[in-house]
Amino acid sequence: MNAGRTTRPAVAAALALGIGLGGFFDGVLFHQILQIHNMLSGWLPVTSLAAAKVNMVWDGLFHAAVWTITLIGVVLLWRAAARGDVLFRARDLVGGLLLGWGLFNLIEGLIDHHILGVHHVVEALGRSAWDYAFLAWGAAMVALGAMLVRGGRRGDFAR
Amino acid sequence: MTPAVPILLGLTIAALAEPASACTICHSTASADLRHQLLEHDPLRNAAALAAPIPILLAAILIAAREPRRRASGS
Repeated sequence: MNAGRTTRPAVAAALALGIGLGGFFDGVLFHQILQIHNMLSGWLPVTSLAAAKVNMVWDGLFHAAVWTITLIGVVLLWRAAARGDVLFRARDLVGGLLLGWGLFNLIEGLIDHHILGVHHVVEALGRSAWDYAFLAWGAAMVALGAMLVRGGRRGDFAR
Repeated sequence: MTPAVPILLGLTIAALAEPASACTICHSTASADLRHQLLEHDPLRNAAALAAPIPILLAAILIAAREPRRRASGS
């Protein structure tokens, strides 16, 4: 029944949405609500009002970037829906979102926290176990997301 | 003329009379310090750091979206 249909465009859209929403989760929860770090807090510690506001500007640019990636996800989802040969399944949506969010944590964590040191998860501690926990959290989401997406492909497709 | 028109006109004029007063980067006691710090701390290096993960994440989306080539069906 599903022969000739594909899940790939739906997974790609969910992946983009996962990256964007993962970025928003980080920015809204860690940068704004908990304020445990900001975009540049490793390079420009938040020790004055001006430093806080400079970090706020760069937090805004970070949010603009993840907003753009979220928009790409919406466009990809729209295009996938318009094709007619795309299979939409809950496991691909959840798997793709987890893949994207996990990838965001892994890539952003590796580059920003470990290589550049532009900020750390808990800035007051510098590089700490929290930075490694952030990577582990990302890796777990990637593994779970891949399992959902790949498992679905194997089970449900006529080749 | 409905009463809303002069009210809206008045509000517009009042808003124009206070240009960008909501912009704390433009007009506040801390604004000069903020502008100075924004430019002082190597904005190009900061922008590069902000942008560094983005190409990899976009590449992941491209790879996920790429369709495998379908074999030409033999007749």
